[in-house]
Amino acid sequence: MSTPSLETSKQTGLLVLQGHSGLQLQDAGRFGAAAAGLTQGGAVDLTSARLANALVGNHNTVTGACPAVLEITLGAVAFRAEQPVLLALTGAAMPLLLNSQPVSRYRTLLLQPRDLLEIGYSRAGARAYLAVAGGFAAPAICGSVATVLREKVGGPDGQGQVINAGTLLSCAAWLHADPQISLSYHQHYRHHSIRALPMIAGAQIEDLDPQVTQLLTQRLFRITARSDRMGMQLGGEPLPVKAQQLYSEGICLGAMQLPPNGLPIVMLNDHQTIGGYPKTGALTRGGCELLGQMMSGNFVRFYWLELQAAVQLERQRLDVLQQQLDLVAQQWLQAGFRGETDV
Amino acid sequence: MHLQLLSAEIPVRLRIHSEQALLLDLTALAPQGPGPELMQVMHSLRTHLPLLLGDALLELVPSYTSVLIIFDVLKTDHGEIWQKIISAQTQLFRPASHTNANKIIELPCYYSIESGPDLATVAALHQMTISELIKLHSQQSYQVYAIGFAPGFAYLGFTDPRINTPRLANPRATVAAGSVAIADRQTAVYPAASPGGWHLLGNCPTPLFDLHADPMLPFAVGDTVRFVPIELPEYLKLGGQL
Repeated sequence: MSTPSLETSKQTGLLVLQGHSGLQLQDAGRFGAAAAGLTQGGAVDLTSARLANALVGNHNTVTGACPAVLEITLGAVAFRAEQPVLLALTGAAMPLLLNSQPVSRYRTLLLQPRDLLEIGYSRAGARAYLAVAGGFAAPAICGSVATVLREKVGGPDGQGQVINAGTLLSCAAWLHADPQISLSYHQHYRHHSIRALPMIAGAQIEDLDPQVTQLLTQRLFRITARSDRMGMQLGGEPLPVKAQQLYSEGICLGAMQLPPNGLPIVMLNDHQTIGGYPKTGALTRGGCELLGQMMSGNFVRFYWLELQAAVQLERQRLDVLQQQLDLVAQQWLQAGFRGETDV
Repeated sequence: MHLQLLSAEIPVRLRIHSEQALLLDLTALAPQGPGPELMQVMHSLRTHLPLLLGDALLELVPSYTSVLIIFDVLKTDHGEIWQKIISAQTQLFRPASHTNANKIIELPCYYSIESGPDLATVAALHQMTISELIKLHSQQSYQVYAIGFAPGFAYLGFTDPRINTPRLANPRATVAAGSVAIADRQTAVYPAASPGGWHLLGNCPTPLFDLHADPMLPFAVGDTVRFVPIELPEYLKLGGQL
């Protein structure tokens, strides 16, 4: 299979004109190192990250590796192209300006050297994903470039540094025309300021006061501003949690912890690997992606879902994503590229 | 299927943690709490589960009395994993007690006021001399019960009851890398400079955690660790800093 020619250069790429701690290189995450204390990291809304990659022709499937993308939390970033770059933005609805002109998300954009790309504050959704054809170059640590600031791991330099103005993000040059690949509006991420998310009962659920498990599905919880990539900290009326002595145990993505203050925390990608607070169970991976897109002040409620139904739901979600990835790959073929670009 | 019991003879429980995670709860194997025998089981699980589950296994997190298993939902499910564990239960949970599979790792430690600023305070707290404190800390064998809090931070237990020490009332903003510390009935080596609330007794000059090495740590959950007191010249020779 022939692939479009990509010219990789260590010296050029996208120059960051405005960055912050919420601008991070992410991929599918780091696995196999939790026993050494490293968290999984990775794109919170991995679906949007994979779609961004597909749009620019980067090979990826519903599970497994995902080429590095930029996760942009809440917006307010700017870049200057130092070479021709083909890119696409997905996820949260952030205003996107190319040389001060509004341009669309969920489609390829070809930037020429000196072109200015500005991303404003999000109107809806917490995280957007920017992918470039060929992916961003960064050193892999335990098979992943995922940035975990707390662990000083990952990102462009591998040291987990914040991407600030002046950082040059190394990526491949695009030496073709814009193939004009896009996803139709009904396939975009759509934000809801109130969501009902399924939860799988598990972990210490039997040890908790039955009142807690009842209230958990009756109450509406608010997303607080203390939420971050480690966890979504929920606000509202505290649940009556009894102090419980528990040996620290492994924590998975989506686990809902009940600390002594009675306010649940749902673990996101940068969660601590072990912890001793009782847990009610967990949200599914898909549920975490939706929760991770919610903004401070949004509301969430939970409903119980049987394990088998949750597994089915998750498999269906991945089926739908595979169809979307295939659809985009089809467009690439129609655009005259015989194979997907390899990273 | 939440909370299933393996068998009457092997009282291991399965707890559902998410659609892609289950936890093996080993609490009932060690009614007196985690100790060296349970860590033999932990070592066995750490060795055999990856072989048993193959590429469907994404992550294995052993900690004190449990092992969390995270898997690929497109390759397997809770029921299949549980069946495999049931079939292999004898091999997994009844490690031959005479084969000492667990590694014993010796860590050099320079106990001094310069490298362990709380040495005098902790000795005074327990009404003993500094050399008695050093002796009690270094003659004990410790199990690696968990690794977490920060990459490479290992919870080692348990300390001699005579030196069990509460956490600092005011945690330090910065603790030097390599600091050997105690809190409650556990001890640890800070793998990197970080904030910390444990009392500091000394410093281990050998770098323990290297992201780019394989393995990243010289020990894993289930292994045994001992501290070997060293003097200043050796500490400096090994790269120790003051």
